[in-house]
Amino acid sequence: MKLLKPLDFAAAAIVAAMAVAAALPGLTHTDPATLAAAVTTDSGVITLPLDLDNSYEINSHGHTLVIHIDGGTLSVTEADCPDRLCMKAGKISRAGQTIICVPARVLIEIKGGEPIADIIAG
Amino acid sequence: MRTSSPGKPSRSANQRSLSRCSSCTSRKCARCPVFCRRLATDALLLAAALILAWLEAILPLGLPIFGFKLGLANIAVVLAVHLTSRRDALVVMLARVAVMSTLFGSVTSFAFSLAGGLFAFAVAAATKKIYGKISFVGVSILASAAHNVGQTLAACAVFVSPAPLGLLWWLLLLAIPTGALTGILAEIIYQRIKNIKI
Repeated sequence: MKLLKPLDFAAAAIVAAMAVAAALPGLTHTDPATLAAAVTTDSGVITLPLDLDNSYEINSHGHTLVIHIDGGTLSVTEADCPDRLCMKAGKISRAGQTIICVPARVLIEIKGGEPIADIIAG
Repeated sequence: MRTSSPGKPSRSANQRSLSRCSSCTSRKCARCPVFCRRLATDALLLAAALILAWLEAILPLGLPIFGFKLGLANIAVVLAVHLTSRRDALVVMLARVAVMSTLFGSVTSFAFSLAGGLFAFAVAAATKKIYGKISFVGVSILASAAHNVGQTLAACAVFVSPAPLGLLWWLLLLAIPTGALTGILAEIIYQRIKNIKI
């Protein structure tokens, strides 16, 4: 291909390496008993345990989200924000995974667990 | 008399005429044909950036990950860096962010756009010198990655939490194909218009 120059592939390789480096901290346990979801809304942080199947309604910044916890996974089942990205994000279950709703200023993050990298190293 | 040094990549006709502003002493910019050309070129690039950004806002392309976009408006910024000066390109980028977020966005979207745009511009400006060995494809890949890093950092600031970094690797991986796409478009356009004297 006449367009591409050698450093183009270097650029792609650099970005791929950055992606791998950014992904590493997220490799963790998925045992629900040790994990909890920290939901940051405009009124503070709420902690929800992941091993209890339940639905929670969150009101934040004029929007309402419904969070559903089922079988160790968390998903947003209802949202009235314009883009609904939080619903399309699907289910999260690992520590470090997040779902963000920017119009509602809601951040859902799973915390806890032990990084797999520690187990591999030692 | 303009002297050229061997080994320097040749500049486009626009770059040669536009760079005279920095050595000008008259300061009568409104009457200077070079400055007026520069203003018109920047305005054209800004219009192009706005049209591209508007197109992206209209077309529902993309995946349900926050911050994923095709980055078409960046084509105009990257072209601006090479067709005009880095300073002009910075102005074009800032103006594009300001207009887009005023017309279509909110305060938060302004912050995100600004952060992403600044990082992407910084990368495009930094790679200007090595353009001969890297084409716009590589520049766009790096600029897309930088844009995503900027937006993620802005998200971290808005939420006061390191959590958005968890999505960063997805965005970086996707930056490679989207950057390649916009880079190919930018390269094709640049080869066609770089020698047109305004």
